[in-house]
Amino acid sequence: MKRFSILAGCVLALAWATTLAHAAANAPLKVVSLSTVLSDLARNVGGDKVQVIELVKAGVDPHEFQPSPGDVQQVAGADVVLVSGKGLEGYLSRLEQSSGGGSGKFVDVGSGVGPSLRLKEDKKTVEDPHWWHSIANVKKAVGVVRDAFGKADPADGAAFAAAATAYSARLDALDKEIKLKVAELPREKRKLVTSHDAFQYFARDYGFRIYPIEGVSTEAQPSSKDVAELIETIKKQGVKAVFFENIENPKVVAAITQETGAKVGGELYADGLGAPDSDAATYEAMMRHNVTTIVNALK
Amino acid sequence: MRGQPWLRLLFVVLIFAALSVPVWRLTHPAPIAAAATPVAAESTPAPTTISLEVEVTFAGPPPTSFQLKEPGQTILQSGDVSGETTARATWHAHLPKEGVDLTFEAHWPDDAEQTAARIRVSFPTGQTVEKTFWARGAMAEILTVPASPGESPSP
Ligand SMILES: [Zn+2]
Repeated sequence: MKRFSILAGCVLALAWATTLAHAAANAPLKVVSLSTVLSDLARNVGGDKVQVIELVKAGVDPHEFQPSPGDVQQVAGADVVLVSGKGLEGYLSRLEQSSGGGSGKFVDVGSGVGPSLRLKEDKKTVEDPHWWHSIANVKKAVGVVRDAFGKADPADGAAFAAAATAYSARLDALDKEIKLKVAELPREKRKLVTSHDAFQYFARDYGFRIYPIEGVSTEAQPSSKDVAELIETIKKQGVKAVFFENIENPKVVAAITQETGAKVGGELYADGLGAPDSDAATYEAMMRHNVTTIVNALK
Repeated sequence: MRGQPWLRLLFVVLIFAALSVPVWRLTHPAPIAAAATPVAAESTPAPTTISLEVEVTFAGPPPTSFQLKEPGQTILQSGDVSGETTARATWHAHLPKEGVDLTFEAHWPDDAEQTAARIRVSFPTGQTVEKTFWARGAMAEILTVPASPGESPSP
């Protein structure tokens, strides 16, 4: 009887361990994202095999975001942390230290999308962190996310690869759609006045010239001299419309339009996606919104 | 009349009066027009107008419909040719220094094989800008024509 009890105990323990192992194998990867664009890429590549936790949510300025103690805890318990990179997350080294680091779970997506554009700001040359406004860059980012997920969860590697391929095909179609939309706008009218300097990658890919009111970061406010110079440029270049951003204060834009006679072209999503109920809730929707707004206003 | 100096004087005065209006208009451009366009493109030079020869060649059966256009104007479309594998037109282009994007759209029957279309724009100098596109069923592509061939268009 004693032998039977020991045997039964062993069987029960084995069954419990098997159940636990099975549950662990089926548990979604816990992915923490530091950008709304990366959250969307993670959902498209990971599907139901990942649980995406957004630290930087829609409407939050990523240039000024600071993680809370609760955010640090989320990072500590994550399998993968997706970082936008190229200098966007000034708090990153502090976050890595305070969350206990983690063996390679921080994935710098921005460093995998190719060379950065470099821009002048306050007499310094800085990296332009807004790489997601180039679809070619986002296609590379999809590959980085796929590889990171496959490394953290090899059993689902094939599913991640298939989803990444399907999403990349959608991005190719989106790129074609945007090129055709932009072609409606004569090249000499592709002059974009925006709140801050976030659209240089977009400009490079689709033949625009950018006249930003602020610099690369939203932290530096424009001086009255900068604004006066920009007003002169807008008048000289015959720019038809000036755009404001979902996160920025539109007052400066309003002042410039009054001075120049240019109209307010509409709202652009510069630093991330829109809220879930907006027309820019996904990366594809955000790009469509921006391009349609720009082309229709400048035509 | 020859014997009436006051009549001759009156005649001269009338001619001067009649000419003064157009001369004044020529030398004094209407200020109202300038005020109505506060954001006029002061520094942008006028685009060069140039006659370019445009040729679209299909590798296989021509599409059931196609259109080659620049913003706001069609250059060549399927109604201009019928059943030909090559279509040609003269394009009176206004080329700014930034160049012009041409959009080419074509449709073939759903069961058509993959095919190609080549778009070639020839300058009076003999230089050409051309691109070949491949598609099955439908095609929508862009060809950028620079202000002068050999230069890449400036944004
Ligand atoms: Zn930004």
